Order: sequence, then structure tokens, then C-alpha cells
Amino acid sequence: MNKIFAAFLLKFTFQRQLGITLALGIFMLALFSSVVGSWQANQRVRSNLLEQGQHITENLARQSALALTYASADNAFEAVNATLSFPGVDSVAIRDANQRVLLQRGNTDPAEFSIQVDQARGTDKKTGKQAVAVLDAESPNAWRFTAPVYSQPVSSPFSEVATPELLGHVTVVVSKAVLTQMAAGIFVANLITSFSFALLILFLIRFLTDRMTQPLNQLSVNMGRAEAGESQVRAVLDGPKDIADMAHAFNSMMSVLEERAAEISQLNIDLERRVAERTDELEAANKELESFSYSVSHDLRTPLRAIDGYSLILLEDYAGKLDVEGMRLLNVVRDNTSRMSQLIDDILNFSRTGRLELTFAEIDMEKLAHRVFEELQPGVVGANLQVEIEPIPPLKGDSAMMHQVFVNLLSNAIKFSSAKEVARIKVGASTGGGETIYYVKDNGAGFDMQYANKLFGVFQRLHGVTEFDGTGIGLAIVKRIITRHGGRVWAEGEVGKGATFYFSIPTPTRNQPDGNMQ
Amino acid sequence: MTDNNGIVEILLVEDNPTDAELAMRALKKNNLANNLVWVKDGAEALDFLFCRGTHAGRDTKCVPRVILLDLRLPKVDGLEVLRTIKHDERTKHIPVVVLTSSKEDRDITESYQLGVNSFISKPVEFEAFAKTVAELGMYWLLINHPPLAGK
Repeated sequence: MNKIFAAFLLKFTFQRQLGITLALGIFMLALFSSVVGSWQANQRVRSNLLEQGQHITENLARQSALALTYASADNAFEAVNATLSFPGVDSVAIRDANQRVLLQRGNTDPAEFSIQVDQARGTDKKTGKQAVAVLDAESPNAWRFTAPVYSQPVSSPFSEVATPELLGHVTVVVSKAVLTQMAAGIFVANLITSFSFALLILFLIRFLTDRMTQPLNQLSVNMGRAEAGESQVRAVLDGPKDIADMAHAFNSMMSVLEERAAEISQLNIDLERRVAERTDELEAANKELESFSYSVSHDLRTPLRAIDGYSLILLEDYAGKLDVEGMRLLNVVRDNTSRMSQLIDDILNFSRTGRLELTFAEIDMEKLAHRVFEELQPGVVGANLQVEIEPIPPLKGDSAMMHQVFVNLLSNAIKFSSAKEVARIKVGASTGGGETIYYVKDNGAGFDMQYANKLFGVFQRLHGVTEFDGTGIGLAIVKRIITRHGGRVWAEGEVGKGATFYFSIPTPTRNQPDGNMQ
Repeated sequence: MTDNNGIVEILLVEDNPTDAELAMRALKKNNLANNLVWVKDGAEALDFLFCRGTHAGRDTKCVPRVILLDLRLPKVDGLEVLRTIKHDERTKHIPVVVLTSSKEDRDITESYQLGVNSFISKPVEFEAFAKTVAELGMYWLLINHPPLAGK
């Protein structure tokens, strides 16, 4: 039951719910009041009809006395006709004291009256007068009234008042049709009136709920429009006060929301402007850096060349005036000039690896390793070099930069293993975990693992200049290039036993766009 | 530094006197510096080539066989000098060798776009520098055949 009610509440609109409930109530009320009203009216009409029937019967009894006295039906004829002319009178019968029928008119089946209402017949004991008519039987369709007929008291000065003599009975049957008709009429009239009022009230309620739900529906439509992204949606302040208040609340909420949206878009514009400003600043800074490195490359070289050139001129033109120590000192000057020049080149190279845009292409790393070894071969001095390059997978990257990576790693390997009797260098790779790890392994000087984190720093050197030459930029360049390719670099080593330098490059996934890693 | 005949073989455009001296020393060692003119900025280089300003009295037909041009120059920048030379009918046939300390890609690219005949980055070590200068002097003066000058 509860479930049905809950479903009813959920399924229909408020207006429909109210309408159905009220309609049901009002129709029940109309029906009830009609029934009660018509019952009451029925009772009243019934008692009136009964009274009327008694009256008619009594009248007939009085008028039948003469006919019974003389046993002459003709004498009662007129009275019987008059009685029959009353509405509802079905039949009339006059009987004598011995229950013989003197006169009978109309058709009534005596068997119809199964219910004997009153058996009493005879005189009114109290008054001694002629008895009143009684309702002696009733059927669903009719009433039967019976009244005794007494002889007329003879008013004679000679005789005493004689006791009236029972002459017979009159019986009048009155149909209930009138009552039934009237009851039905009253019931129908009541019903029509009630239903008319019920309909009127329903229309009134419908009008009122319309006035309430119309603005609510309108509000809901407006909210839908606002939700769909329409701007400047406002509800009309219409309908009952509470609904209008709600519409007002909706309007102020929409105003606040629009203000917020405007604020956010303003913030966005500001943010974009600031990003653009910062980008400009960054670009300017980058330009400045470029012009700085341009100056470095151009302006620092010129004085160096002069130092070197004039030292050489001294050595050539004034050789006779210089002793051995003087010559040695000038050569120290020239060595340092050359070193300074190398440093400048390395700095520029390092900054270039950070600046240049990467051009991604498929690189055959194995082929590249072989090529770099061939390029480096002429510089190899001393050691008996054994190179092993395993089959290694290709990668997507900037080929010039990857070339640089191999040049730096392999030249390091050659350099640091040059003191060995047999220098062994191995290039290999392994794939897994979404990346390919390449390594260059040598059996050279190695390094102390506690300084491993310093290896890839700019100008970080773990060996003295006299031991192995170099500026300490090579591994920093390697790290920068690999980082720009999205990979990592690290190293393992042991003093005197060799070192292994690793770099990893992410394996490209199918849906990943080629390149564009910075 | 022109000789008596007014013949100019090399025009050296170089603002740095030490670089100029080193270059001239290297050329002189190979006997290539006899007809060499040294100007110290881009404006003077253009004045010399188009015989105007301090070089107004010069014979326009006497153009150098090769111009050694530095890029970073006072007044008129080396690339601008190159552009002017290569855009002028009178001078566009003269071989221009950019001789600079710069190794910047953009300098190289732009020089070639402007029509430079050769781009040489000066080595810092004097021996290498001297060798380079001597070789390029030899090439442009002795090996290379220029079109007939002044036509």
C-alpha cells in the first residue's frame, strides 16, 4: 500500500496528485451526501403518504356505512370511485362483518402482502368511537390500510345512545410507486447538484495549482536553459509570493554565477597575458644568452690567437736571444692558450646541445658505434685496443647528438684505458621496462663509486690533467643530450678495473607521437 | 700598402690589428702580401671598393682578386659589407672569403645565402691559423681563375 502510494507520489506531478486526491474526496462526499439526503427525504415522504392513506381509508369507511347497512354495493360506488381517484391508490375492497366482499375495485393480489403489520381490528377501546384506519400489511410495492366500518349512531331523542355496531371493513391498497419515484428524483437531484459543485471546485483548484505550478515549470525550463550554457537566463517574477521568491533566488544565483564566470575568464585572460609576457622575457633572455655565447666564441678567441701568435713569433724571430727556460715558458703560455681555446669550444658545444632543436629520426645505433670507432681510431695511441660491439637495437633520436654521445663515451673509454696493456671496450644494450639501456664498458682506470654523482657535472674531473687530458665537459654533454631525449645516465666503476657508462632511452609506444621530447 | 702600379691583389678587412698582423705575417711568409690592402672597418672597405671617401681618387677598375672579410666589424658589419658587394654589378664577381673567429651556424648559413665564396673559421693556434691563411691566399691568388677584372 505504502509502495503504491510512494509510486503515485513519484510518478505524477504535484498538480495531478492534488487533482486526483481532491476529485476522489469530493466525489465520495457528493455520493454520501446524496444518499443521506435522499434517505431523509424518503422517510418524510413515507410518513406523509402513510398519513394520507389512513385518512383516505377512514373517509371511505365512513362513507361505506350505509352501503354495508343495506348490503347495497351501489351506495358505496361513488365513494369507492372517489377513493380510487387519489394518486397511488391501487385497489379498494369493502367487506361485511362476515368477511364477505361487498365491493372490490382495482387489482391487487392478496398474496402479495406477506407482512402483517397490525392485526388489530375493531373499535378504539378508549374512545369507543369508530376506529381509525391502520396499516395492516405492507409489501415491497404497496401498503394495505384497513379500517372498520361502524353503524352510524342514530341520534334519536327517544333512544339512548346505542353502541355502534361493526358492519364490516374497508381495505385500501396504496402503491409505493410515488414514494420510489420521489426518492429516486431526490437522489438524482442531490447527486447532480453535488457533482456540479465538485466539478466547479476542481476547476477552481486546477486554476490555482496552475498559477502555482506554471511559474515552477517556467523556472525549471529556465534552469534547463542555463544548464545548457545559455547566458543571461532570468526567470519572470510571477505567480504566488513563495514561487516568486524562488524565482528571485534563482535570478540572483544566476547573476552570481555569471559574475564568477566573468571573473574566471578575466583571470584566464590575465594569465594568458602573463604567460605571453613571460614567454617574451624568456625569449629575450635566450637571445641575450645566444649573443653572449656568440661574443664568447668570437671575442675570446681573438686575444687567445694573439697570445699564441705573438708567442710563436717570439720563438721564431728571437730564438737566438732566448735560453732553454725562456723557450719552455713561452711553450707553457702556448699550451694554456690551446687549453683555453678547447674550453671555449667545449662551453659553446655544451650550450649548443641545450639550445639546438632536436630532429628525430631512426638511428641505427650499432652502425653509429662502429662509425664513431673508425673516426676515433687515428687518435688511438699506445694500447692494444680490442673493441666489441654487440648487436644493439636502433632508437628514435637526433642523429648528430647521438653521434656526439658515442664520440664522448667512446673517446673517454679509449682515453682512460690507454694505459692498459690490452684495452678492452665493449658496447651493448638491453631492453625492458619501457626503455632501452645502452652501455659502454672499458677496463681502464675506472673511478671511485663515491664520486659517481660528480661524473656528469660540468667541468667535473676525477683525474688530474697530467694523468688524462680533457676539460670535463664530455659527460655533461652526454647527460644533457640523453635528458633531452627523455632518458637517464649513470655509471658504475671501480678504481683500476674499469668503468661502465649507461644511458637509457624510452622505448617509443605505438600511440606516442614521434619526437618532440625536449 | 698598394704598390706603385695600383694593383691590389688582397683586400684584408679586419678591425683587430693583431689578427691583421698575424694574417699579413702568414701571407708574407709565402710571398703573397705584396699587393695587400688592409682596411679596419666595413665602411672603409666599401669606400675602397667603390672609390669614394678617402679612396675617391682610386681607379674603379682596379678591384682586388680576393677579399678577406671579418664579420664583426665597426661601423658597417661584415655581413652587410658582403651583402653590398654581392648586390653590386661592379663588385659581385670578386671572390669573398669570410675569415672570422665565429663558428656559429647562423653566420655560416647567412654568409652563404649572401653569396660568400668561402667561409673559414680562424683557428686559435697560430700555426694552424698561419697555415690556413697561407693556403687560402695561395688558392685564390694562384690556383683560382677569376673572370677578367673590371669588365
